[in-house]
Amino acid sequence: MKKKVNITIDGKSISATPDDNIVEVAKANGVYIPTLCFYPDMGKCLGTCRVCTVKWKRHHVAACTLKVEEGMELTVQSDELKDLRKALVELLFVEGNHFCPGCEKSGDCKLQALGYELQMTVPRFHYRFNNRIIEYNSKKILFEHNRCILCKRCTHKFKDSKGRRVFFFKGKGCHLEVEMVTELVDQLNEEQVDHLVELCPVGALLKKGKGFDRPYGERKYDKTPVGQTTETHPKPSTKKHKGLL
Amino acid sequence: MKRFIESICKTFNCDKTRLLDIFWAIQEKYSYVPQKTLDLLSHKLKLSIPELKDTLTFYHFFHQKPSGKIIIYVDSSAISEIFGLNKIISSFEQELNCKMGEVDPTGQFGLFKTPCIGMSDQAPAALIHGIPVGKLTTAKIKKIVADLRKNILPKVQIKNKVQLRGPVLFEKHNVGESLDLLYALTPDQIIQEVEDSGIRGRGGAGFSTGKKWRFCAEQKEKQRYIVCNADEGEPGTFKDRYLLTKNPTLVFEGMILAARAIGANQGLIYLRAEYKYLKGHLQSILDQMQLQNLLGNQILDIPNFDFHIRIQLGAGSYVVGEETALLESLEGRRGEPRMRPPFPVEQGYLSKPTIINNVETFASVSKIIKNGAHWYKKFGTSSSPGTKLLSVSGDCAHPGIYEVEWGLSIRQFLKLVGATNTLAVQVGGPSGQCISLKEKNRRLSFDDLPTGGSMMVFSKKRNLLNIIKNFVQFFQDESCGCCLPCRAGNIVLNEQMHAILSSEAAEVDLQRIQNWSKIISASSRCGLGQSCTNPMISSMQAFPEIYKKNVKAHESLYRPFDVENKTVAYEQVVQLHEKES
Ligand SMILES: Cc1cc2nc3c(=O)[nH]c(=O)nc-3n(C[C@H](O)[C@H](O)[C@H](O)COP(=O)(O)O)c2cc1C
Ligand code: SF4
Repeated sequence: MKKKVNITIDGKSISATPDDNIVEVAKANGVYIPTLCFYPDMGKCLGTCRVCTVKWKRHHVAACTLKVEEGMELTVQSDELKDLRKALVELLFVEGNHFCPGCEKSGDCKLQALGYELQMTVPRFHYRFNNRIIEYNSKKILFEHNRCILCKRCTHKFKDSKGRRVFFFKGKGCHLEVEMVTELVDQLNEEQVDHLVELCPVGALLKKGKGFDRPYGERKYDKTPVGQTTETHPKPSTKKHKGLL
Repeated sequence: MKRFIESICKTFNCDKTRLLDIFWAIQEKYSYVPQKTLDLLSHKLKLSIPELKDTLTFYHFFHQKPSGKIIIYVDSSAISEIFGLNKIISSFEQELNCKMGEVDPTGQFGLFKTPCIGMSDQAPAALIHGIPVGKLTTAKIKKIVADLRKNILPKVQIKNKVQLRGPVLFEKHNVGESLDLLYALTPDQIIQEVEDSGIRGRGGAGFSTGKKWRFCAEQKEKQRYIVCNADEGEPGTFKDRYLLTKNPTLVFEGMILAARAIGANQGLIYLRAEYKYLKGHLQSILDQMQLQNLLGNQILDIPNFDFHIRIQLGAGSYVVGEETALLESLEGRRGEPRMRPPFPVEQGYLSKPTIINNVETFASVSKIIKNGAHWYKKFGTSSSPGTKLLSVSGDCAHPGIYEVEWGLSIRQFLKLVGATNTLAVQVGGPSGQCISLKEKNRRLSFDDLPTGGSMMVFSKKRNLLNIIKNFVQFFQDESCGCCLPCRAGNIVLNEQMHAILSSEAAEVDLQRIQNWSKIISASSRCGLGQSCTNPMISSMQAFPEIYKKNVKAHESLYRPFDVENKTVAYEQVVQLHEKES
């Protein structure tokens, strides 16, 4: 057991174990740092959305990449940081094509929940209306690229039963997109598909054959604000695939 | 085709970390990477096609469709632009009978744009089948294309215009001279000497080289690597090109010293694809050094001192110059910057402790070891000891290479390079700062005006906004895209810059650029996103009047959504309803 050290977050003293992840330490102590791509207990963080940006000394850092160090003094909720986060969420909304009322994931979508939470009304940036595709070749997954936020959860945090990556990036910069290995996706079992859909924070990866299973108002973020919900990480099962359709 | 793919896979031992080499080999044979080869590779390397494309599609020198047997890349940097890029492009288009970004009707030639190819001292320039040709004119292009049609390629002729021979890198040096002291110095003494010299990295970030080496030496893991960053991607720089053409042994000696210092037995040089024409030359120097027992096993008969250097060719990407992205690329993946910590000195190439230094840093270290830290510190300033190679381009009488001592003022600099009627100096390339002559007393140093070497001079006859727009476009194109603020933010900034240039921006847009830039640079993951806002911000600071003059519109294109105004009708209905009930 490592010796505890003291840090402060927004002036609140917190005792924590060195090397623990700041987002989780904060959460355990009742301080909420908004996150989007971050997924608990999954080893290396992704650091792609930058929504968890906080201030340490004079620098801005993504909290998910930070580990506890003795004497750290962090700022999480300044006006500047709140606006920065809101701007980032707005950037995501203008980059993709998000039409929440028609989305299967509405109410279960972390991006939408963050939008509400950060009180985003209308983005300050122009919508890009990017031309994106809907990929329906897979038997198991409908890939709605319009909603993809390129968070890397599927590309880097999802493996099939043989430990293979199933999603990859293609292109770079503003042409970046996610490409799935359809043959491998089609070999996933039901549980794995459910896990994958759950892993996607938005409505980009959808389970084929399933539309709306719960009414609006009874979904994940409908009753509990995103700050208070915990994303759990189901162990991907290695059970043989039973077939879906 | 099958046999060919099998043979290259065999050459590279089916090693996934050599994917870039494999793609290069394929492209060399077919002049693009056909889908069929991917199918075969996928089978052979046991990687899915999307996984292969993950790497392939990151680098703009790799083509997935037929792109001409001979590809012409026109340098689209700001410097090329001010020296007539558009005219050059039309000439090529006319001669080749195809549009920019296309292949000519015969399928023989492809015409593309590429960011700075490290020829800014000879702008406008282009890479023709990998061969750099500078000082292009319409007549020259006519001749080149006519020759190409007769299967005659241009000759490799790099004219390195050295304008100022400084006291450190231009001091007389015999091959292997700095290694003479290898017998006398312990690894720790080498590190100490480098530390004492106070030298800081020449690639831009300016981290203490001695400290970096010491951190690496202190790691538990004993398998270590030395990497030389020869990606030289910052537009406007070409000083590494100079060192690699004229004095590569100096660079290699620095790498050998580093290897001795930390006990590494493998070194890698990451050579940008734009400098592919140097690969053969560098390899022959390495071979010679091996014959002289300066490389290989038991170097200089020192027991157990083995060190080998391999050249890894890049494939066109600016962000790969970022050290962790460089490591990713060296391992055959997309050049996305890694998350830090761990730092490369802890977990670098193949997750082993790795020293990454710039070409010039290694060259300078050779001199430090040869002449001593004390000697080195005589040059420069106390916080920035030593000298710096500058790549000078733009509106001045003497563009080229200069070795100057740190501490040189902008006033002295302008005099030195023969710049008159100067409007602005872009210090350190697009990711550096744009300054006006009001700041001519500022000095080149790590605590005032740091520079990785790129120094672009712009005279009053230039349209500064066009230049800044070029930089912003560059960052947008070169963003790796893996973090949101840089990927999406650069588009927003570019759009704003476009609005200013087309007189569609209003006063309020300038404030927005400031605000949004702060957000983008604060939240981006790597140095690219953190510095991509520099050109706009520093030029706005230096030349507020230019921006002010160009904001003309009454109303910004970016109209904030006025919630109150848009919901008036709704409010009325609600109020009416409340009244009634
Ligand atoms: C976007 C970006 C591009 C870079 N490009 C280069 C480059 O082309 N060459 C280089 O030596 N360093 C480059 N750097 C700096 C490297 O990350 C790193 O600091 C350097 O190679 C370390 O060597 P040094 O300490 O000798 O300077 C770049 C950094 C960033 C953020
Ligand atoms: S800042 Fe830009 S280049 Fe750097 S990691 Fe983010 S997207 Fe990639």
